[in-house]
Amino acid sequence: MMDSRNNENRAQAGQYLTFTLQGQAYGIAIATVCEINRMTRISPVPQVPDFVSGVMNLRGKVVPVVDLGRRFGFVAAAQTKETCIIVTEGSSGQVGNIVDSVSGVVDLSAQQIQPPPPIKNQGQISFVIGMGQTENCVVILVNTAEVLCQSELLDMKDIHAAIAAAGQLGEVA
Amino acid sequence: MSEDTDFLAKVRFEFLQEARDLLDSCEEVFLGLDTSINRENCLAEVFRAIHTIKGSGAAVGFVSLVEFAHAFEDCLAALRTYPDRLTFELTSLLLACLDAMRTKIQMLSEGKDDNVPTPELEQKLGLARDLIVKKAGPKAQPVHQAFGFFEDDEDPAHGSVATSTSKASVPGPADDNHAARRDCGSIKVDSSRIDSVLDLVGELVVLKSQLINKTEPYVFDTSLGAVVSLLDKTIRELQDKALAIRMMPIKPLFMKMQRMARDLSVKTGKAVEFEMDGEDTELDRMVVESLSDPLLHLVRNAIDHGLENAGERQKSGKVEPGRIQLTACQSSGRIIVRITDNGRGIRRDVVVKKAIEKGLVQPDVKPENLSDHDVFSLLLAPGFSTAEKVTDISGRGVGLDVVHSQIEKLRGSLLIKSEEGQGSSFEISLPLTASVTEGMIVEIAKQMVVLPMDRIRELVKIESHSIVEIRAGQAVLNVRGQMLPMVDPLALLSPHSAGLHVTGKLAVVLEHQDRLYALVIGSVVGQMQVIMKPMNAALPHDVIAGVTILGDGQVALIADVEGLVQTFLRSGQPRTSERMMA
Repeated sequence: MMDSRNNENRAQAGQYLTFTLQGQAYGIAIATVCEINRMTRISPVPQVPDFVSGVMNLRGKVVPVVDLGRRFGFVAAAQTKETCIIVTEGSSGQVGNIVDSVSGVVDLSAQQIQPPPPIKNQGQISFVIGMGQTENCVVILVNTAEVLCQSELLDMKDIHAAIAAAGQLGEVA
Repeated sequence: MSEDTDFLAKVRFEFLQEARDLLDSCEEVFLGLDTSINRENCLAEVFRAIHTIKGSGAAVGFVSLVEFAHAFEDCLAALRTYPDRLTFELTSLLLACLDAMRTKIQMLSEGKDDNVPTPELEQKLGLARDLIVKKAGPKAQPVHQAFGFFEDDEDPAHGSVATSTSKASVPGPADDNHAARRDCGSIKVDSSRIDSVLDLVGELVVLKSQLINKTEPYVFDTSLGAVVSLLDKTIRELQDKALAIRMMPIKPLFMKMQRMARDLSVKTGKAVEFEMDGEDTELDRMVVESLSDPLLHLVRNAIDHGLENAGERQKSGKVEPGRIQLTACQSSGRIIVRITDNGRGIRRDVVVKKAIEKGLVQPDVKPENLSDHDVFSLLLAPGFSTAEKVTDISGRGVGLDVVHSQIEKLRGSLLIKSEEGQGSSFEISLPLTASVTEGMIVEIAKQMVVLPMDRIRELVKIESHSIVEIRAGQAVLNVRGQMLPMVDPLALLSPHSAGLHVTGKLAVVLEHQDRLYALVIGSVVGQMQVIMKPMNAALPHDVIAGVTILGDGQVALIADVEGLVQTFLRSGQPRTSERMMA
């Protein structure tokens, strides 16, 4: 049905937690989400890439926090009342992900999920595991398991552009 | 089917764990055999352990292990009949067999076949057994019918001996011992579970202090005050008790050293008397584990280079065997582990000569002008000696810098004392646990940083004229005439604060490897005991020893003074070479 390459890194049908970054909707598989917290105090850490905001105290556990917006190549968004930290379980333990806002949970069937759009530097976007089509918007499905690994530098702007160019999305806010 | 294999795997796993414990307990008994008066009971205990391994091993189908255990058991059975035939060499053979058993069990637990070729050992065991039994002669009075317990065993000694009289070797007292040990009732718990409990206790402590702050306005409510203060006390006690769970006695480590001393004594042909004291002293499990390497090194050094051989000892009027003492004790919140030998001691003149060759001290320095501390500190200097040559002359200096840095990693220190001709002592001083540390909380560019208390020498006020800029970006601080290099505090801050300028009126003087460095800070916030947690492995942490959660729930970084200085020295190097080239 879909192209055969690397099927395990493709979004599966199921429930996705949706959130926004720069006005665009994103989704992560609900199974990887541990909890959602309000923005809390984050202690900066030296010698880290600039998308790592620091570490936070999660009930006695010290958890690294990634600014997902910066991780995806945007300029840091101003912090609002909506700003949240989504704690996910990844390959290196729990990680907090700062997002602009959390929207809700969508249930996507296999028909609603398409492979990621082709863009100029395919290697960069192994983060993007698919595009979910809901009634009123497109959700970029991402896998944050390797979010802390530095090897991959991301520029989601390319993807936004690709989506816009393909006419799937209309205007990217 | 798969359920069956699952079950077998589980049973085998349990067996291997049990076998490992049994072997450990054996080793302890074995080392006692050399001197023990209660030899028969000791042998009975070892015999029982090997017998158990044989029996349960057969039940789970480890054929090769069982065969070996069988040979081992035969030899032990013969020994039990004639305990007075036990020689030093025999004990060595038995210890070697114990090691072979351990290797086999290790291989089995790694899922490999246990087919380590041990025919040589098995043959030796057979020979030893025959020898023991033959020597017995007709007059011997073995005692093995007293052990009705093991009657199902085909004891080779059985046939050759006609009568048996039970005497002191009836396993009564040993059984009592055994029972007493079991009574302590211990359970094995995965250490990650303990850590998660400790995390929660830490969080509870934080919440408690928040609660105490919140209840301050209600001082007149005495019943509330009583509850809060009770809660405070209870949580404090809970924290102490929780931390104590991680503690273990240093004894297993000492046993390991004793074993190595014995092996080395055989290898070097020097008779060694090994003494232990304070082996019940308790330490954090992590500290015990990381102390193993440095201690091995020091004990090896002491026997290999410290102790003289028999002839030399006789010449200097010393008694043979040479003595190695290993002691542990707790003193003013620290653990002191001391290794003492009564060997030849360290020759000061050789050390100084070597240091001059290496360019560590000025060539015109006379050994007699240096204090003992100065001379022995030279031994710890990096690269003082890695060559065997020095060992031949001075007998010391191999890799001591490595030992020293390992100990420093544990936030400990190493003190050397030596009297030429009388012997040397190496004293390791360690904090009680690796996880609780006394720290000073300072503020640097609005960030909280914890500096380990034991690395802080003093706090100084910075006057504008006391900073001497050598060149852009490098300066020294004049503290009462002493010029201290100024370490860049920005190394401790995140990339987000790049460009921030740290301006403070205060500097902390930090000590690292006998040198002092100055670190400019904004202000001092306070001093407290912090529970150190490891930093997330995915984040690099050269300059951070760990993190901790402060009383208000905020996460603070704990600075790694060693890493900080290293980073500072590294960043300084290219500039130096530039200057040299210019």
